[in-house]
Amino acid sequence: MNGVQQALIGGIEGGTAILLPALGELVGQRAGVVNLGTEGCMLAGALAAFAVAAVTGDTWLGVGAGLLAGAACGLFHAWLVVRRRADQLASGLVVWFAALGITSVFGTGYIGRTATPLATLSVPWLSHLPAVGPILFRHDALVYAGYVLVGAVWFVLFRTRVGLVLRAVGERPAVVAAAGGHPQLVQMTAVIVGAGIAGVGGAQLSVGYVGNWFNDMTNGYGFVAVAVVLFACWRPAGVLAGSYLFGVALAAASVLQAHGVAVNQYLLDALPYAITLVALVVVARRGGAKAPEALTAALTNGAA
Amino acid sequence: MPVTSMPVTSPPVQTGTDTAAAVTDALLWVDGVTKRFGSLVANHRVSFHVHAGEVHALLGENGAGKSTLVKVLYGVHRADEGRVVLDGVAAHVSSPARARDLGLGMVFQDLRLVPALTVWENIALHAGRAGRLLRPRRIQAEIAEVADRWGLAVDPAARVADLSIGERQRVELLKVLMSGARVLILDEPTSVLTPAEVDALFDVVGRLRADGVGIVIITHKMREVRTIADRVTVLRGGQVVVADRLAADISDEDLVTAMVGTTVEAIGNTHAGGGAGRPLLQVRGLHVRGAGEGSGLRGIDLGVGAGEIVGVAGVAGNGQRELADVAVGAARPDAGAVLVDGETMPANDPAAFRRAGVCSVLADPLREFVVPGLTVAEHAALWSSAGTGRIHFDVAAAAGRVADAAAWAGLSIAAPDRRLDQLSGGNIQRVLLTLALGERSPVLVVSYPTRGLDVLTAETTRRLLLDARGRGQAVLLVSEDLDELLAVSDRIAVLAHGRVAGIVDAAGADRRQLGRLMTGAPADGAPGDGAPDDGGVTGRRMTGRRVTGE
Repeated sequence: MNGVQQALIGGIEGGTAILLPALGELVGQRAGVVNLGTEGCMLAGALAAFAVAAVTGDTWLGVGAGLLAGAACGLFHAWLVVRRRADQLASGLVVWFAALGITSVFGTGYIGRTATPLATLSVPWLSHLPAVGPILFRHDALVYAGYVLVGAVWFVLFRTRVGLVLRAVGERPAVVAAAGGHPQLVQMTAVIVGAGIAGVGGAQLSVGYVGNWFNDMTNGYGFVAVAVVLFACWRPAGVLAGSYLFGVALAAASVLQAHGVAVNQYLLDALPYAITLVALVVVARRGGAKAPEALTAALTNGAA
Repeated sequence: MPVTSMPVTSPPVQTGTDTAAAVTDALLWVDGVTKRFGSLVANHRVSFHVHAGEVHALLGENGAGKSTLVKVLYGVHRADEGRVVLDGVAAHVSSPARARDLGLGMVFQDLRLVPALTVWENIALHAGRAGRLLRPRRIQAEIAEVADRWGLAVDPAARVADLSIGERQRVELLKVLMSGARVLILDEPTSVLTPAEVDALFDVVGRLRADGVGIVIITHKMREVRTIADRVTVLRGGQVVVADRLAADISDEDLVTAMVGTTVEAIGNTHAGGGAGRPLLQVRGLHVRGAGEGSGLRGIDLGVGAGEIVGVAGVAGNGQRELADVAVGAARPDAGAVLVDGETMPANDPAAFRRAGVCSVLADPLREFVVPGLTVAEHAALWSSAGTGRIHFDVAAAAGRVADAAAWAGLSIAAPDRRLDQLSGGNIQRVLLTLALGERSPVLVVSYPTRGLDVLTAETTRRLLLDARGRGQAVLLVSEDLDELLAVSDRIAVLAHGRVAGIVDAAGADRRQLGRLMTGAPADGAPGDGAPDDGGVTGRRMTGRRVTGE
């Protein structure tokens, strides 16, 4: 196995921890709510998943707990933003800080413990394809969940009535209300579902392929996920590409380190973030898509 | 609004039906609807009938209660008394969704579309007929079919943001028709359309009428009553003053009197004709990149002389906004210059423009004029010290000044201690007009001065503009109301796609000529012989085309 292959495999694994929260964030932002607390939802998901997996020994139960923990954070954010009309950015930061503090308090006892990570599943036949087989089809189940979810999110957003209503809420909530819909309900649901998916993304970090926990283990992934959504012009395919690009850059950095490349380690650590942002900015320039109107309105305080 | 005794007109005598028959026949019967907001009675026992295959105009001034009535009909508001009867059955219209189920379709003034979505997505959003899954091809085919049937040409796959206002209105109509409306309510449908688009709309309305749809057109324009309406009901002060009359049965004078309550002496065409004085405001070679969907300016030369009113016509978004902004120093042109009294002005320095004597009635008072939380007097203080460099805001003196100015102008404005952001659009406009016109500055740049005003105040405002001209002020008047432009302007510059499509003498111009120029079509006929117009449809006189006004 050469270095490139290693970087790609690691990139898909790590990229999934961006892809899942980014898809969740995409759903929320399409409904007109930005969740900077995605980082916090991931932290909560990661700890909940690890704790449950470590105590019960059932990793999938852990993943479920991660989903619920993320969704709970999302409920808090949605309630503040949608029901109480709080500032979206401020509320998101509150969610992040709260989750960071709480997971640090309750997570200290779990530092150094191990849990069984999700089993690596080789997809029959596909995993034996030359070159791409090992890269794409020998992973834990959450990676495959990421693949499926990209398509599912696209389908729901663009080919179902629910998705249409959701996108319309993200643009002009008043239109949906006039058509007899319930914009607030749509936004609450979108945020909570999105945060739940982010929680699963956190679980991918703690029990997906390693099986450990340390404080602040998400390391800014949640913020990268938010950025990926913006620069992907709110398109699922763009989110997919941006997330894996970040994952691969991250894995490449560690491969380089392992091969003893003499570059400052902190520079190397920063590289994936820089590469991803630059690439996404370049692509976004070309795409030129507009942010959902309600989102812009909420963020510029111009909301009616 | 004072409620005077209303002349209740006789029931329609030439319809061949008596009242009882009308009740049973009517597709829609609004029966004694009363709607109160606190102590304010917005609608008082309003009744009218709409028959199948009939266009019924609901005429009234701003504040007459038309909008409230429509919202009651469409289930946005609940009536306090009275009922709505559809096809002889009392209907409980509890919500807009319920109204649609009952076959009531509504095309709002501010079109209820999502710009970022495509035409078919907007229609699917509304129709609720797509089931859980969207079938883009099937919906698009259905839309094409319905569009074809009614002559509402529109591309189902186009993004609404890319469509013109006229096209968006067609989408709105399609949306309503596809949800199976039998009664169609159009709220001020022509306010944003070009004359050609108005013709197209009325063509569609005619087809719908022929197909047995009952149509209600809310309007304050007499012209529309004359063009399209079979019947007319007039509202004033929340009450019906003319009920279910055949449009052919009532004269223009009677309709206006019914609407306004007193006889309005419309301003005749009082063009100075003597030629303008020295140019006070000139723009030369203006280029401004368009923001959003607007065209911006692509090389504008225009001049306004002392004692002259130059009107600026055009469909919204063709550069009027940018022109007005640059002319008062509120925006920086990419190229070109503004000259006030022969002096080239520094770009984007509103204070310098104010010092040079340029005053403006802003296009969007809510955004550019109203400071939430401040009173009328405080706005006056802000206004009069803006650009003068004084440190002290003398609020009491400003209150006195604004009251004096209002008295001088003959405009009734709200008390100086009222918060401006709590006033209605018409009241805000009156305050703005008082401040801007009260200044009696040499140059006035006036955008949409009568928007939101009742007929009487609008006439007063136009008179004030004419007075300003009489005093030798130079007035640049941007308006979407062609009748207004024709009534007060000396010359009218028509903007299309950011260029001056033509400058015509208002004295000889008519709506059709302006309308043709507004579409960007070159004026046919030879320009510029200076002879009085012969009244022909084509070949109207042009004093200049894409030329400097001065």
